[in-house]
Amino acid sequence: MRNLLHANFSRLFHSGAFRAALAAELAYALFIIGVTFYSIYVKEGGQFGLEEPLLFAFGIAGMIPVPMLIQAPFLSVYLGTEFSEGTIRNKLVTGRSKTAVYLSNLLACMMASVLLAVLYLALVGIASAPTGLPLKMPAGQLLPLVCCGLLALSASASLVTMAAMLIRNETKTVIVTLSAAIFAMFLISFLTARLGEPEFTAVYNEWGGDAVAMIPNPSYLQPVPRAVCRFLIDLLPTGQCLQISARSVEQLWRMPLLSLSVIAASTAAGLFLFRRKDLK
Amino acid sequence: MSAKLSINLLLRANFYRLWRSASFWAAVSTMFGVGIFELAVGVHAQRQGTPVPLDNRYMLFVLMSGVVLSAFCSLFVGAEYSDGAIRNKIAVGHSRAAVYLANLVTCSAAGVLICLGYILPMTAAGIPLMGGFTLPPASVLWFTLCAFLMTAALCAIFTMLALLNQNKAVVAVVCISLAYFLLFLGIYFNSRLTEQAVIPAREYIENGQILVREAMPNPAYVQGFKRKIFEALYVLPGCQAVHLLATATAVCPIRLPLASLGAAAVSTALGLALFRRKDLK
Repeated sequence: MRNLLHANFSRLFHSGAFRAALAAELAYALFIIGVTFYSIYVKEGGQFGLEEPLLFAFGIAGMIPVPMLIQAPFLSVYLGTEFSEGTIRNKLVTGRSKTAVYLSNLLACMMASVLLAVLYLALVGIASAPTGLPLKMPAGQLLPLVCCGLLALSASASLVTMAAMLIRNETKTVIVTLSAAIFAMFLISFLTARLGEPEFTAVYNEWGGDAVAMIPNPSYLQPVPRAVCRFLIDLLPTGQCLQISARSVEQLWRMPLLSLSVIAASTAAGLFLFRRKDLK
Repeated sequence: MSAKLSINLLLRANFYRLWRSASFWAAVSTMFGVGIFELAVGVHAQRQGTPVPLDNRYMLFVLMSGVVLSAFCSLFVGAEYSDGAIRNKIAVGHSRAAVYLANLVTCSAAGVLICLGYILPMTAAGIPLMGGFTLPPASVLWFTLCAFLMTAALCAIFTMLALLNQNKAVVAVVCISLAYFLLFLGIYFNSRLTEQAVIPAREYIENGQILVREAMPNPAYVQGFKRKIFEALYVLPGCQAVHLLATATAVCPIRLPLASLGAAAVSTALGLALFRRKDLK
């Protein structure tokens, strides 16, 4: 297993896909640094704290899960190469078990995802230091959020690993994972909009003064569908990352539990199916 | 062997491969599934009492087609490289231009068929379930023609990208990202260009008094050179999907299909020039 991990990390740092992902993460960090500087020095706003650009490591203001959009194609290409170049077969021929191959790939992908996010945090943290932007959120709150975000990214990496190890075709994996990442983004925004529906809507007179009546909103979600929506948003790694980036987390305690469940379930399903798979 | 015959042979081979391509049927099935879903949403909304015309549901395929085609083109054209078909075609004497154009025609035809995957359930089941179109048939046909031309223009761009890069996975990432980027760009342009120039005057009550807010210029209104740039980019294939939907209830302006033809011509000319010089290894 250690040899496999060593080989995986060696391949990771020499891989073009990883370099492209690094470049994309760097470009994203520079974009956020640019926007932060613009807000402070040009618009002279600066009403926000340092935690805002830092938490954008997990998405843009609860709307676009940028790390997922970088991670999905990068990990798909990285793992797909194992199949297209026959590396997996070589590993199995030299006596490694399918479980060890799967787990070493999973660990490498998780580490790569976390590494990209840490790189972003370091870059934005260092670049923002000279601006004197204060941390408006206590470090005791920020740190758990960052840890939950990193765990959510690992959960997302485990889902991509499962897809890549089962689909085996690099291009098909890219299409499936990238489409799934974008679909998850739309799904989360739809579910969040549904959760935000008010229970009653106000009726105003033609002069726009005080509300004359309150009528029940038919779009308001009843307790059971509301709980299901809430659970789905918390369960999906994209949902977790978007909540963290928007600092709108309601139940932080259950996020790591759900991320660990996603990792465990996807790894168990992936391992089970990968062991039965005919690798030709 | 004449060039015309050569292209015919290539086209026959490409269409033969198309009918057996899993990616083509997956794309048609996706659009068919989306069509059924959109129809179900429309029927449900009508039964809830919301007036949703069939036109509204029918036209949505322009938003999806670019994304589905980006995945299809990268898989279908990419297979030419990975299976060594391109080398074989050139080795038996076909010109690179013929190979390029045959792929372009096949992908464009596939694009139209993929759109039909949506249109078919929408019209076959939509007309009896939701009532007919509220727009005149000529407007619906004109919209459909404009949408097909935009689809062909997108196919030309994706074919160019797929034939200029031999790595299928990279092509898939680039094409899918480009399709979404153009779509979001179209949404952005639409929201900026539909801003009112002037915020109208408004009367309202505050503390029991009737107050009047005078009409004032809208700071979000885009004007001058910036507006011209936005309008020029808004007709790009992909962005045009939003433009088509926004203008569909009137009549789609002629500049939209012309822009599609222009984009297809430019991307094909550029792709052909670069593909002729490409080292196919």
